Amino acid sequence: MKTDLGSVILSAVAVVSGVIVLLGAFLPISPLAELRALLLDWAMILTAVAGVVGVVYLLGLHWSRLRQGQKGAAGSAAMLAAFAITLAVIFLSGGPVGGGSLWLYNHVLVPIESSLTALLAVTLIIAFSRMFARKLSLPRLIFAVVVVFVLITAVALPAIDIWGLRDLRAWLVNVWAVAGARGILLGIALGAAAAGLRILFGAERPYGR
Amino acid sequence: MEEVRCPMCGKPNPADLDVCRFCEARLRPVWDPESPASSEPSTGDEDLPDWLRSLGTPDPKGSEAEPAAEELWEDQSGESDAESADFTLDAGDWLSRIGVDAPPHSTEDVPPPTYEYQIEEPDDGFEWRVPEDEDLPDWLKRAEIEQPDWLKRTESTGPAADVPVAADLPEWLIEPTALPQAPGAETVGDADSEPQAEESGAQEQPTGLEAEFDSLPDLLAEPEAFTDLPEWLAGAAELSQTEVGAADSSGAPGSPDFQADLPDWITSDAATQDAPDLEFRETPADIPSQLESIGAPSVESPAKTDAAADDDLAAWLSALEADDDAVGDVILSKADETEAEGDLSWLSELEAAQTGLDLVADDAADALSVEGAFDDAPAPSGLPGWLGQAAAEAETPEKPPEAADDLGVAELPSWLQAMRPLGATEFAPHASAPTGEDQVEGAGPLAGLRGVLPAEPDITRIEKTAADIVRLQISDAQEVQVKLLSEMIELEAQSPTVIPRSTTATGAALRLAVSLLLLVSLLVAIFTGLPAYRLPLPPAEVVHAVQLIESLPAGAPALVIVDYEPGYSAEMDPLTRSVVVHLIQRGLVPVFVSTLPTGPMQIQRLVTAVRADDGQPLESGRHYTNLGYLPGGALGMANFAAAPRSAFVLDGSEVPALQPVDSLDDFAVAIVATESPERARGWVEQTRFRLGDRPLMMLTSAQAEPLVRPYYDSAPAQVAALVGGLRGAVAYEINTGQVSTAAGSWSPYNLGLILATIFMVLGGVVSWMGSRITGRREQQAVKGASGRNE
Repeated sequence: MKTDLGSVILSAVAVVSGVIVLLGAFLPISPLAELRALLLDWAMILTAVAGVVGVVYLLGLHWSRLRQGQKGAAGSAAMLAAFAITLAVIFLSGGPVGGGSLWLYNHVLVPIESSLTALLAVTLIIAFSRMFARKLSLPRLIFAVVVVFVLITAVALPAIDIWGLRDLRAWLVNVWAVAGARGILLGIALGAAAAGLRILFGAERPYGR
Repeated sequence: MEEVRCPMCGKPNPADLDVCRFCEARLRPVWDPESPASSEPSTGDEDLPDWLRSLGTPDPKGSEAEPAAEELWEDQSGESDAESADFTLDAGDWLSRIGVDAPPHSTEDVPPPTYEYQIEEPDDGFEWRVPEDEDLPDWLKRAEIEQPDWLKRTESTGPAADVPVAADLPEWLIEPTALPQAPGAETVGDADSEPQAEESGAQEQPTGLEAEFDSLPDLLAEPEAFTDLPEWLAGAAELSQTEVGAADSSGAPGSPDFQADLPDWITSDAATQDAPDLEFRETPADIPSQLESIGAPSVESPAKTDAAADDDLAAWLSALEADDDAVGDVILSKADETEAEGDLSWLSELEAAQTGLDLVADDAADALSVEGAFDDAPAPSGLPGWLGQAAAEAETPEKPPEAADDLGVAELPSWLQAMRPLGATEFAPHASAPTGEDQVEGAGPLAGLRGVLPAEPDITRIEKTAADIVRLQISDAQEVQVKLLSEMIELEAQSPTVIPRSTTATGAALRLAVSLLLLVSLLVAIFTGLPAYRLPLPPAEVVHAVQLIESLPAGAPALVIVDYEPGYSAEMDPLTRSVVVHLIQRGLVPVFVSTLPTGPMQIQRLVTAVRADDGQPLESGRHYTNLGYLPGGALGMANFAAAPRSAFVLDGSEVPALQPVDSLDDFAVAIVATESPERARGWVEQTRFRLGDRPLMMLTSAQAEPLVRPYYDSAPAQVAALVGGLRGAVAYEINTGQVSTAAGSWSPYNLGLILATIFMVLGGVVSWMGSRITGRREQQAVKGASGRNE
């Protein structure tokens, strides 16, 4: 069986680093803690560099699309122009918290993203209404009733403030919803632990060939 | 120089050689009758009967008889070479010694007919030896056997003229010219007079085989003397006994007497049915019909004094021939190469006939196949079984090749037949492998011989035919079931096709309508403030959060983490701003940090909206500290939690707020404002154990609140305070007595909730009713279509 030396080295580095960080979190040993901090600093730097590399790759992709005249070249052109303008403004404003940057953020970025979030609300309304266009089933009916009940009880209307409705809403939210949330969080925690162990044991190698 | 054929390889060799020069097989027998060693009587045979003992040792005196015996077999050319015998008879073959010492029978001065035989050299390796007189049994020595012409291969002065013809022998068995004589002819003595006969036979009787044949008729007249005779020869004697009286001079094959003399297997009418038409070079006219059907070899009789008699004798001989190719070898030619075979070459020729008849049996058109001739053929009186079978074969209709074997086709039970693969293993024998007598053995000690049993079983020669596919034999019902099962399995693998509904037009219109209604309603509510909705009562967690901030010491740094996207600014800005304002009012110094790239700008947006107590804008470094972007996600959180001052490029000494901060627990409180449950969970997991007893406060959106509440409801609570959504912001502002900026959004928020609920319910009802109507229409259409089809 042919063994790839590069894969072996990558696996060794990953395993050793993971073990040092894990032990440094549990063992109050000064050298180990300092080594752990050093490794975390290196990881933060690599993450930042990866972000920069991603931005550069994205620029190159849109540039090639624009040059070759492929489908979506107009959007690529707008993207490149917006990037260039934003970069120029930030450099000229003296940083991301400068006047120009903040103006772009307050008048361009925030409205656009807020509009997209508002469209999400309309899309959810339409999707809910079309849910009954297909076969009406018990789970669907229960879901619809609960959604309508929570929304209605969330409205602060005197007519809706009936004794028991708010308590019922609190019970639905604090018990049923929280129970589901707890299950989701437990699953996430267990999955993260399993993924970490797989990487420490070398069973999973998301980093190499 | 005369040549002899090697019995192994069949190649000609000089006659003087002892071994073949090609394959080094012996040409001369090990036991040579003429050698001095062979003349000595064998030792150790005292216990054997005399007749058997006599067979084992050649009689030196028989050497004198040999020439006489050889004379019987001289061909027409008069050449005889008894010394050039290239075969020796086995000691046990007494038949070959018939007529060795038989006295020559007297006949008319009629030269015996001569026949030219086309001999096929026997390749069976048999060695024929002319026995000496001493080898013959006594009864045979005394017997005056009349040599039948078919046994002779002599020329003009054949002993057939001198050999007395037994009156009891059928004419076809005897020489045509030699008419049966009266019983008073010279006969063979009885058993008591064996010694006398033995003594006299050597003196009075002609020497060798001639004498034997001379006495044969007399011998046959006394069957009791032939206790040692085999059954087939004894039968001949019995048959001869019944034929007392002068033979009909016109004992032609066609006469009744001749017919009566014939054995049953010859006289059977079946012999005339479906017999192949074989070619005759010379068809005697008086050949019986049953023998004519058998066929005749190519007979050439250049000198026939009695053509009819010759035809009679040749007819039944010719019956052995199957066709021109094969059975023509039955008739032995008395050519020069046959001289060396001795007096008993007729046996070798018959052996060749057997070989030829075996070859014929392979041909489906050959009715004279002798396969099985030796197995099932009844031995007619006086003839070997294989020879009788030859005639019987002519009588029976042509058998198919599969019927050559007497074994019938096995009847398989139905359950076994069902298991048999269809046309799969149709094993065919090796095409190139010859079968039968043509097969030359290629392995083992019998290598080179023909007609031997194969050393390897036939199973080794089986080869599978090409393009054979193993198929199971299944019934029609099973096949239908198999198809149904396969279709069911295929349907399971296929995903159900969803009929797409044309919703493009209705979907766009519906979205547009909903959007317009919502937009108009909200704008009216924003600008007019109507309808007015009651402000919410502060929930318990909001009250707790207010109390928490109130308990913090003044002038202490407070970590504020702003991790929400710009799209959630409308919901999160009022909440975060109210808390920050509360911190400022309490004298705490907020230290902002964000793990989002847009975080620094979001932080700046917040602090710009906040004014200090004097109404002046907040100053960085004095009123607040913006650490900026913290990269790495969870790694950054962990790194910052471990060493807050080393996580930033900024020198802690330059930031007065961070000077007393060496670890995370140096902050008075940690406040996390995020709309993402994942980031909220990450901050809780990375900073909770670093904070110690410092409180952790969560400011979340309405969508993330259920996922963060478990941390708040846990014991001990990991999150000390939880404020979520616009309701929490309004309640917090009311409790802190701030100028309510969130209250202005409360009416549009409630109106939007009501309108969204109305649209959802109405849209659901309309969709449900529309689907039912559409389904009924489709059903009516299907029913109508089915009714029209019917």
